[in-house]
Amino acid sequence: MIRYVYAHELDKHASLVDGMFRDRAAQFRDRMKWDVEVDDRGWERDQYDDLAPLYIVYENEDGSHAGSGRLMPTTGRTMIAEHFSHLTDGVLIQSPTIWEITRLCIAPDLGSRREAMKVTSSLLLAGIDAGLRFGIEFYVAVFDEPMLRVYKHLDFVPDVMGRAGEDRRGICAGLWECSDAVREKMARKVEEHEDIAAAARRLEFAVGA
Amino acid sequence: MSDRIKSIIEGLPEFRKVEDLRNFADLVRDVYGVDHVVYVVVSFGGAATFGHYQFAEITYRAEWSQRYLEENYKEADPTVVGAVQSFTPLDWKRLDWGPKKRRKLILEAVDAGVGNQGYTVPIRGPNGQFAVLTVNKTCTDRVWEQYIAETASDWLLVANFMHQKVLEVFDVKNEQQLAALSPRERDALAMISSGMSRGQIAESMKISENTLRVYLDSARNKLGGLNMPHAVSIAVRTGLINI
Repeated sequence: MIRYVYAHELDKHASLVDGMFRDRAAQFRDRMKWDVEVDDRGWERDQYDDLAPLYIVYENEDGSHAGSGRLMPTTGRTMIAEHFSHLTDGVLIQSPTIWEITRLCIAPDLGSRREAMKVTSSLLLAGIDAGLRFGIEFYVAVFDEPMLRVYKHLDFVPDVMGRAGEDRRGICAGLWECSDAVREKMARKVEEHEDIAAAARRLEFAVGA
Repeated sequence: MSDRIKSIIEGLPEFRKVEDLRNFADLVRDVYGVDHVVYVVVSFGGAATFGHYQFAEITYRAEWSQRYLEENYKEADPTVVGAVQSFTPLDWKRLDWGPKKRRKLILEAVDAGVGNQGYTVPIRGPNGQFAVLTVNKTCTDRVWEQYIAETASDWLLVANFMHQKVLEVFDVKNEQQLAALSPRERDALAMISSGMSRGQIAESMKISENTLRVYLDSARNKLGGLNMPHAVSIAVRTGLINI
């Protein structure tokens, strides 16, 4: 199931969150060989995790982490503006109706490719649902080029603003429109789409509790 | 494009003095048909000074503002606590009003003319700037849900715009907001102002139409425009582009 977790609520979901940051280390450091920092708990955390982002987490039935992503407004600091503006024609993307999604991560121990696809599509749909709820018009993200195939398979093809690097090892800056039409198209591929929509509507109940 | 945004642009004050901010708050209240508009800067940057408002523009009755301060409601107020903790707007209906002090707060507030429904938009700038825009309205849950679905994007734009104007009026330096437009953004603006269609511009710039929309929206935001025509008129007025 999808959970929306604000940064200040992370400690309410200790083991889920532990899994998220460890799985991020497994994905970004071990598998993709990105130059990321991993602390002595085995967590991959960066400076943007300190800026009160909203996390989307897919939780397995046993409570463990299956996948996650991180949402931030582009009016604040973002990876795409601070490190990847060479992929966006030098444009610093910055608008209250555009959010950035980063650290999209899938647990390394998911049973099958099919399972990984299910988790990925649920996370992306959950991003769209949260965006629609708050009036967001676009998502931007930087991702590894091979992810394009995954997005295509999920009927969620981004517009690529720019790319860099060699074949198959390239990185892309992409954008997705956040609209009802996109939502409808995606939802067809996501079994749990009704539950996700309900979670997006409930989002906030825990605030200030 | 929202007609309400157009009406706001038509009625904009000049933003030279602090009173202009009050006029803007009144304009927003009238155009959007809400009961009240509350804008509060919690911090202009540097060390966060949560709890000591540095500037507020509030259309509430003075007695209610007074009462709120006396009772120290900000510490119980889930809209304030929530806005500190998240960047997403807060719909009052979704907040937890269960604790006793919060129930007391909302009952007294409604008594004092505050709408029973509300929406609070946190605004963050670089260097720890932090402000909130709150609007509230008296209506049923059903009407409210529809209303917010229609206006959610506008509130992000209006809150961000008002924040930019407050910084200007108070002459607060905001380096990130003042980031110069890139040559590509300027090209796109110049082409838009010359009357080319988005399709033509995208083709000429060899980018997709959605990429163009994102570039233009970033330019709009940096120029302090509420919509594209507004941003273009600012760019022309300030000599950034020629037509």
